[in-house]
Amino acid sequence: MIFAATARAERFLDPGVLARIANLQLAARTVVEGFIAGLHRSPQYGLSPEFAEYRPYTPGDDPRSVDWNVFARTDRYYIKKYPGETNTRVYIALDVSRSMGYRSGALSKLEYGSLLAASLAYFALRQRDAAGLILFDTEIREFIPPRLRPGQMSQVLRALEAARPGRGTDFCSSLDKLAQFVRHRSLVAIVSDLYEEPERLSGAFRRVQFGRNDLMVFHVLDPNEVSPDLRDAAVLEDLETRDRMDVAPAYVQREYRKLIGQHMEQLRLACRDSRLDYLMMNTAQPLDEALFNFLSLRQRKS
Amino acid sequence: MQFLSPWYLLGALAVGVPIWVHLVRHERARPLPFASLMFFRRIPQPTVSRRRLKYLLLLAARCLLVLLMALAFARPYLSGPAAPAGLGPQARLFVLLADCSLSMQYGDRARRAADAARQALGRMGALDQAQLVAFDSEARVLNAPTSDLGVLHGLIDSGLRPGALPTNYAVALRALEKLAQAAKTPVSAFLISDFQKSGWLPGSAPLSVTPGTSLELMPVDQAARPNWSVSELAVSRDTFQSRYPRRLQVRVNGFQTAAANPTRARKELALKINGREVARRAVEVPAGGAATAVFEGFELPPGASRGEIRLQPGDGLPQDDVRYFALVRREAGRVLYLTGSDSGREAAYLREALGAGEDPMFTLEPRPLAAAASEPLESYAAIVLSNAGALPGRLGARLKEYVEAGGGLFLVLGDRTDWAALARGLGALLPASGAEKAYVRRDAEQFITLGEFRRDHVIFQPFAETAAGGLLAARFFGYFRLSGAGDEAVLARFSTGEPALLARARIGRAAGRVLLLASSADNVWSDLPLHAGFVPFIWQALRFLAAAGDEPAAHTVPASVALAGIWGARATPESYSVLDPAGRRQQADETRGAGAPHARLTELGFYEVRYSRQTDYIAANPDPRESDLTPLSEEDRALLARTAGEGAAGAAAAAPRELEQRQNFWWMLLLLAVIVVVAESILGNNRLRRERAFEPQRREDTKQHEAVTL
Repeated sequence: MIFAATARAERFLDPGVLARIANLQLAARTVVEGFIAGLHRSPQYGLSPEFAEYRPYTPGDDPRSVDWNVFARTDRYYIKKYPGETNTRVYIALDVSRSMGYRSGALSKLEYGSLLAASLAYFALRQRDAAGLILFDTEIREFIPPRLRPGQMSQVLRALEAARPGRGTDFCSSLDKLAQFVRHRSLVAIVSDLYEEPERLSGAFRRVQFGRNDLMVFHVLDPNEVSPDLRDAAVLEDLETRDRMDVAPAYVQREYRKLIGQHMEQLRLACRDSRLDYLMMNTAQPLDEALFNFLSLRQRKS
Repeated sequence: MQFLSPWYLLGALAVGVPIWVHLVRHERARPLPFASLMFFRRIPQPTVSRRRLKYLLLLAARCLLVLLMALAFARPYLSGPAAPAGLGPQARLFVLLADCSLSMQYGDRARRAADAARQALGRMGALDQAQLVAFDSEARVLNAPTSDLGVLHGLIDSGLRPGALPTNYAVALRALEKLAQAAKTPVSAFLISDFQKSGWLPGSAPLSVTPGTSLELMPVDQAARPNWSVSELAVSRDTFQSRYPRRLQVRVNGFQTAAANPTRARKELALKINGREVARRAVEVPAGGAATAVFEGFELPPGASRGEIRLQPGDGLPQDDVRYFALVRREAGRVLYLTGSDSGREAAYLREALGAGEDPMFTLEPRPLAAAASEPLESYAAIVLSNAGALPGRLGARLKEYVEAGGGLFLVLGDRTDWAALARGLGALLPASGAEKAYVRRDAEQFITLGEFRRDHVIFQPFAETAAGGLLAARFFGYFRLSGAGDEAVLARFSTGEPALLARARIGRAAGRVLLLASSADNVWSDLPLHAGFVPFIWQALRFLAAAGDEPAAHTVPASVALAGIWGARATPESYSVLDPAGRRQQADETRGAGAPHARLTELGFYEVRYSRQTDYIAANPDPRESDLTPLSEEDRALLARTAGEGAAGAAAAAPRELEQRQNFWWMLLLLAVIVVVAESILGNNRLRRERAFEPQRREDTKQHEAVTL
């Protein structure tokens, strides 16, 4: 109800307008600020000085969090956990392959995905969840572990602003590597254009899901990828492979749209079967609307 | 199809430019970036040949545009019988120049001319208009441009009748030029004439036709027809005797008569006075030659008479077989001679002078001064007052009344002249205000002569260059130095520059005249009477004083005759009328149009002038040039044809231009080109719109490429 009231009460800027905001943080904040509820119901807000529990040290944890007294007593490394750290770790995996650089309007898919990733990170951190970022194309390009500390958002945003379309896409390989980084019971948001066979994608998603991780798939496409405006014969060039192909508009009008529609449907069904949250987004769609839809979905599930 | 400017067709080669551009652009066609061809690869579609020209419609539009522009600038037109009417104005103006001179009355030339005119009108199209121009020595446009054939045919019947005037082709061509310049459409002119050689006056400007105007010659008679005419008549109008005192000489010419009469033709000349034959002469006119005949000694009634000499038998052109002339038998003018001298020498000299010639105009009546005091003066044609001292009684006043009533007074000064008395008696009549007696020194130059005189004055008209010596040889030993005379009054000067002869005219309401001779005519102060020039001088002086007319016996049409020659130099009668040979009265504006009354002669025969209860005649004869029916020579006609051909060639050269202007294909082609431009723009924009969907990705690729390159 809160979301509904929020959605009714406010309208966020169109992504195209947001794209003109150079500061991604500002853009993300602008998108998210209108929402009250976070990714999940976390009763805890803000840092708490009270000790809650210990947990074993894992590589990547901040050494400053190690309880040296415990180490002295046990010769083992344990991290102190505070009430604020009991929330979820959010991994935001953004596809930065070359195909994500495609655009037909004001925003490319990468820019749109960056905005989405920044919004998710901001949302998570605001909810006292640790948010981290993974950029991948044929391999992991950037990995920022999820943390909840000052400066984390800036680090994420800097990485997003520096993100450029890379090379090709090896989705499955990248997700397999991603699965190695992801701690158990984490929330993984995958933002990609998903140019891969649905079966292979499903397998990759399941591997990420292993460890009881919660997976969200944001399928970002450009409107021109969904309905290409081709009325005459043209030579198309694949952004990643640089392959060229003469295409005739008649075939494009009919067959292409059918195929991509089938692809999206297959992905949706595969995600449903795997109990994944799947959201189809196009770069012409206002981001707030996409988030509203997503949060509504999450709310129903919870 | 033909082209007015075919060189512009070379511009059609530019059609290769859009073809080359399309091919090059195709080769360098920028591929449209797309995120992934994953799904396209699954689509079975035929491969598009890279050699196929894309955007065929766009290419076709651009090629068509180039071709249309080249064609439009080349100005195409269709010629020949199948040439279409075209989209522009196609009307033509037909100008029929019909010769209506005297020679066109020969035989059936007039009928042939009318037929030729109708034939020309028969070529008119539905939108054509025509104008008829009748010409002889003048051109008369008979109508405004019209396409009404009824009106045109009516004008042919009524307006193209030949008249009495001679031919002048120059006026016809000037009229054509004016009409062509005023016409907004092409002009087709037809010159219908007998193409008489004499119609081309010497010194006329070369025949020229306005470019764009076609001129067709339509001869009505190309043969050289024989013709005889009474071409010259030497006769004096005025006579003062009942029997014509002079020889009336007549010249008869034969033109192209060799064919009719290889040696000579026998003709007769009949002289008629007032319609009654009074004499007849036979002449033999050699072939192509001339003969003369003389009439003399025929009786004349008092007053004006109508004379004619007619050639018999007549020929194909009877109008020039008769010569009209007017005669006036008058009473010899009485000249009253008053002198203060006892010597009768001056009177004798004057009498002899006036009596010279075969037809004296004046008779001298000497009277003593005293006797003239009671003499009625109004019946005298002129009065000579010579070497007079004081004027007795009222003579001075009576002389003044006489002059003011239109009389003429000749004052001759001599040794007895009392200038003061004259001045008292005549007052303002005198042309000079002062006079002083002067004698030429015998020990010096001994005499003076006449130095200069006004050759344009009627008194000195007989003194041509060679005859002037007869007057200039006179010697003057004594004279009066006259003063106070204006230059306009001085008719002659002595060799000293002093006035010798003074005149005043238009004195009083009746335009009286006064002459003042500064020396005597008695062989005392001068030997003027002894010189040959004395007789014509006295004659002309008295004619001037008597205001005698100088009307010739006959005129050649067309002519404008001053009626002052009929009634003399007296004031214009209060009422007068002029009737043409057909008895029609000339309108007042016709007779007074030139300021002074005049009669315009355009018909052959006698014009009757009625005034002051008198009737006089003016004879009008044809121009002798019209009697020679010789047509233009072959060379001249070829020149005329070539000039007309040049005009026709000009017209022919202009014909394509005219055809093109009428058909106006060029603007249709330009209109099509505009439509093609619009279509090409629409097609081009459609293509741009399609590419715009991929343009943002293209720009992004370019930036990344540049970043990588840097």
